[in-house]
Amino acid sequence: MKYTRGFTLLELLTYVSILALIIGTVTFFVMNIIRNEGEFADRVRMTDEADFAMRRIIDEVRASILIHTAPTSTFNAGGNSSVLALLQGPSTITFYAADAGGGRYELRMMDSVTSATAVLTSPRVSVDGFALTCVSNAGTCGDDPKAARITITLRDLDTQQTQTLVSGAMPRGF
Amino acid sequence: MNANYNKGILLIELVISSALILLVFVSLFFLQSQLLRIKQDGISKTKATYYAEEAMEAIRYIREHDPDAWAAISIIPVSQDRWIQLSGNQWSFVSSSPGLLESTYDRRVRFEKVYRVADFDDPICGSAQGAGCNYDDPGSRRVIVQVTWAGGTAGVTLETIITDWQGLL
Repeated sequence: MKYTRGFTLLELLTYVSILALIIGTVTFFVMNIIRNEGEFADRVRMTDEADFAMRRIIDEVRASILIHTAPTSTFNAGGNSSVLALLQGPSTITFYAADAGGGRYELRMMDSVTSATAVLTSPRVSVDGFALTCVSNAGTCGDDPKAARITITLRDLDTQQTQTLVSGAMPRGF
Repeated sequence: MNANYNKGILLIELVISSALILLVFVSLFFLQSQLLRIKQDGISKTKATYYAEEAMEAIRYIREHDPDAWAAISIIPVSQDRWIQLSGNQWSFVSSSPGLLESTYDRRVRFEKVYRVADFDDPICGSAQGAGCNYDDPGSRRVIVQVTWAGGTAGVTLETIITDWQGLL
């Protein structure tokens, strides 16, 4: 009887091979997406971390009286060797710098050159760059910095991807 | 018993049902890739916003510390694009693009007039002269910083009013 005949072997083979082709293609795309997703997740996380640190530093610069020229402040330094010193009260100086710790560099806020009061980056990233460019109309910029361009580069310790944020800030002077 | 109920499924039915299931998966993957695109936009926006903020700070710096002070800003014709350049430890305006930032972001600045009701200490009433909005304030400018990328299809705009407060002292 016509309705109870089931599939022929040829039909089944055709179906299975078409299905295999489709699944193969889909798997290729899925694997691609999964790989991208991981990469993107890292990039998003690093951007968030750099955003957090940059926002904090910019806000602190704007809220400070001036960029201090303490012997420890370092301008126009590449890599992660800059030190930002901010005068935040008649005698309150806060420092921002990348310091080595636990096999990586972390971005620290310090109330003295050696004592960290806060760490602005997580243990999953290392600071590849914390660079300050001095901006001033003074003859020697580092003697009287009026503003700074700040570059923060973070590297993910798992995937080694890097992410860089660049901005600038000027103390409002009061 | 009707013979139709024990006929099993036809090959064509099997193919159609698998196609439907695949369609659902394909839509999910499409959705996923759209989400990645949105995340990428978020990253670009964060970077671009910081570049725009730098330009705003640079304009304030020029007003406060440039030898020409306010004149460095007021001399720029309104509605014309300018770019910000950091060279020789100074932020300044340049009239042609110094190139894309990170080979991606185009950052330009333009100034617009600020009109006040009748005098310099009146409220701001717009960017164009009109009824009850007659004072073209030479000591105020509307600043528009635009950072665009992806061929200008995506962008971030920051806008503020800057004044020659020192000129009023």
